Amino acid sequence: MLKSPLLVLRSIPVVVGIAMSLLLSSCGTTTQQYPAFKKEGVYFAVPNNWHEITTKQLNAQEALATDAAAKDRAAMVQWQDAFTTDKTITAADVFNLKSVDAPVAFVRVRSLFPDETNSVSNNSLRNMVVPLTTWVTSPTAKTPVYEIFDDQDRIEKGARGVRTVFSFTLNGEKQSIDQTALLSPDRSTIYVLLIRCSSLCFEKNKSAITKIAESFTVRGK
Amino acid sequence: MSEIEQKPVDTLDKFGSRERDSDRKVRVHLSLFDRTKFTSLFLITFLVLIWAEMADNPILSFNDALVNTLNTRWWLVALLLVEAVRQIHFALAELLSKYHGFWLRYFEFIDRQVHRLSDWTRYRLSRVIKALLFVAMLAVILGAVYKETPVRALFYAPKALWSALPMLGQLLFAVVFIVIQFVAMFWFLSRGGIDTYFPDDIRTRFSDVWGQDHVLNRIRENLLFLERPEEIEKHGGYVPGGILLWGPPGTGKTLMAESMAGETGKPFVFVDPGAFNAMFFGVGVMKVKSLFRKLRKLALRYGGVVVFFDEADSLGNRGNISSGGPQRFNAKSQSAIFGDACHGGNYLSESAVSILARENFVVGGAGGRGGGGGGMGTLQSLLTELSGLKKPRGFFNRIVRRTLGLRPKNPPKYRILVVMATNMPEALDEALLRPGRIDRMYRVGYPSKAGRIRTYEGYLAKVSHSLTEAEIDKLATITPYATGATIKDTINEALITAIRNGRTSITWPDVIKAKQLKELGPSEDVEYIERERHAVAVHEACHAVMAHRVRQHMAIDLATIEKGSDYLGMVASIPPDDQFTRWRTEYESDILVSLASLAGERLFFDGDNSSGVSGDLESATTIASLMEGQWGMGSTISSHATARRFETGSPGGGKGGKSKGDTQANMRMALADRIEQNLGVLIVKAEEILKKNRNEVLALAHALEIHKTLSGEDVAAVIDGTVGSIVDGRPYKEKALLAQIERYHKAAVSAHFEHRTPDVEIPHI
Repeated sequence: MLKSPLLVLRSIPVVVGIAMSLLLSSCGTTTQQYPAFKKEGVYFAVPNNWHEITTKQLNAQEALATDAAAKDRAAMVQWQDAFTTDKTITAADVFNLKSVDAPVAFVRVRSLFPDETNSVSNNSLRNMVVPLTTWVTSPTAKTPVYEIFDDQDRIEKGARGVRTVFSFTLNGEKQSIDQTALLSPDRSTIYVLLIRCSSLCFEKNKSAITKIAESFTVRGK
Repeated sequence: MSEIEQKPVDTLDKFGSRERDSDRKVRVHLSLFDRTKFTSLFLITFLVLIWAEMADNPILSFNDALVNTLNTRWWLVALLLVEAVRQIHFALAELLSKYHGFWLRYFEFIDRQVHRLSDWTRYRLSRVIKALLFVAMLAVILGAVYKETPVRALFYAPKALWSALPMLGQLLFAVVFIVIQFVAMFWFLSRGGIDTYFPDDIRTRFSDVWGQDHVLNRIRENLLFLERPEEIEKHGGYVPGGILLWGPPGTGKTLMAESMAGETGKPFVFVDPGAFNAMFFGVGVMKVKSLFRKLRKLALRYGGVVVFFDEADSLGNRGNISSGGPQRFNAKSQSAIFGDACHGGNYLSESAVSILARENFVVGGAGGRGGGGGGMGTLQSLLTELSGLKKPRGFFNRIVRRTLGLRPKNPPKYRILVVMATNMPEALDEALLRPGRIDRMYRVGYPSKAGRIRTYEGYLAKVSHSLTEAEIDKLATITPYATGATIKDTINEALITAIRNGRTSITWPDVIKAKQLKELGPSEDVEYIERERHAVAVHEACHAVMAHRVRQHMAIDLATIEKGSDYLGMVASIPPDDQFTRWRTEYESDILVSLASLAGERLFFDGDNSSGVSGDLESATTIASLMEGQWGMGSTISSHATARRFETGSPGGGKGGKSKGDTQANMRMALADRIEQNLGVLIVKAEEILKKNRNEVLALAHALEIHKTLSGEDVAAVIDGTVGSIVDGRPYKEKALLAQIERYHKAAVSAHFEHRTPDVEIPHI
């Protein structure tokens, strides 16, 4: 028995439709970039229009350091990556505390030295970039003007630590940092995500910066 | 009522035969499943890949995962597109007859182009492509699973697989491991028994087979068709696929096959008789299947292949009587006729011998010979492989082509020449011998005289000898049933005889001696007491003289009174030429030769006769019965065989009618009476002939007593008074000697009656 030709005709657009829709959607691109360090299960997302300062560039920049302690630390780095909206910003700017006018997101996974492992605490995690805890507990005349907007515990599947959002003024330039520093359960590795720029720029890109900080996910090994 | 009856007819009319593919104007409509299965498969695969992507990165959104997957697995989209195009193509072909017709024509063109490549090339190509596709698919899948580049994943996979195998998997592997052992065992068992030879592996050529030219010519023809199949295929014929060589042992069937292997430019596969015998059920079947897989492969690769089954009877049959198959009678040795004192089987012609043998053994066909050979389905699978369904083969051909909506191609023409050899054709299965499996059956009989000469020359060339051409010719003549094997054996025996006598070169007497040794077996070196020796000599002389006088269709080969294992003496005959019809006069002369012993013993021993004539009488009676009852050589016409079958009774009654004395009653006498009467007439005739040849009989008996064994030539020389090869027959025509012989005979007769030694010495020439 032959089937009605109508059925044949009807089935054509279904097949064609599926194929075409897939074809069309494949022309688009993703909304975000998903840099990841899968070995340690570290993920975060940055908007598509952000420009990457690659791991290689960062490593090269760090290798220029003459300080022995810095060199040792660099050797312990497992992964680092940076993104920024401004293409003029370079790896050197990433490692510099000088205020920048475009947001820079910098992620770093680093193994700890044994003595660090023994001494690491949430406070020391907060002191990752600037000695924030010291500023709070024992301020001196040299203590710069600072402001903590937010400070909360962050518990991820593969790590725990603190996320601190603060601003400080250095050399007359006020900049803000959204800092997430996490420690692996065996206290051997720290995962750091820094997003920073001048306070003005920070306010302007607040939603994007918050989104990036919130996307930071550590699944662990 | 009528409506109900009408209905089936209507139904039948309505749904007649299924429409043929070639009659359809449009494509057959696909079912919904066929229409959507690939789309579904691709979509599901796609979703799985998206899911894998998302599982890989916890912060990835579905949209981004979709886009990522689309970007990285674009080929899946391409496949989907191809599927869409295919579906459109199908839909068009289902709706538009013109489009369908065009496509069919176009595809025919493509098919023709593809067929420009030889079958073998296409086979190899398809194998390579299949292998590459498989590896590629595997690599892609593994790449996706292990998040590696496909090629690297291929190398990581086994290791990763093993370490990732959960408990259940490892248990499963254990099960598989056990199965593998069986597979390996069966694989191992199914090896062997099959040898493949490639051209030039074997050096034997047709020119090495002697005396079988008629069969060789046929085989050559078969090989020619195998090498150049287009010769017959372009005229609409096909290459004959099977040859059966049957005939007596030692006639060169295997040698012929060997020469085929040497002669052909195609591979030659030799199958051992025991190749299909297996310990386990099903191994035989597996072997047949793997054999034919190999054959098909070789046939594709080399354009043809010859497969030879030696001793094909080992394949067995399924127990039914093979009708029409050639019959064989080889029960001589057990017959009373052949085992009697006079070895009657030897002086009768071959055909008379086989008739006698047939009468002695109820021929029951080959019934009940069931099983045998490989058994357990081996024969059946062989039959199927030889001419089973011409089914499309191969995964791609059957599955992939069907998937693409194309009909599977018929298999290419596998040109396989099957050659079987057997000396028991009746043991072969009937179905094996039908045309299509075995197209040609050739009897490899005893070699022709020319062939025998050639064979003798061939084997003599290997040794040192002093035989002349004429002697070799004579040798070939007096050994009508010699085969390559027996000739080789005879020459070797002659060489042994020569060496035993301290020579290294074979002479004529060595060959004759060897021949006699081979035909008669070693004499027992029994010295008869004189009167018995004389009686045996007279007995044999009567046969020989009668044969010499009345029988023209047979020549005496030798006469002997040396006691063998199962005879006292004998007269052996051979046909001087090949003859295929037999006549009444010839059978009568056969009977006369048989009866000569009885007539002669009575004549020369004053009415006495020995029991040694029993075999002679048996053969005489059998032939007389057949002449009277079956061959229309008696006074009635009807066949006793038929009469017996229909139980109508013979004219005058089968078992003793009443003789009335009138002509009518005489004619309708009982069969037994008629036979007896015929034999009575013939024995009188035999007696008359012997009376006329009294001197010749006694002369020959004398020569036999002196020489023990005489060749046919010498027998003739003594009877005719000429010079033979070792006996000079001329003195036997001298009256003085004849008188002496007569005196000796008389003395021997009286000694016979008185059981003492004759008082007259045997006369010496």
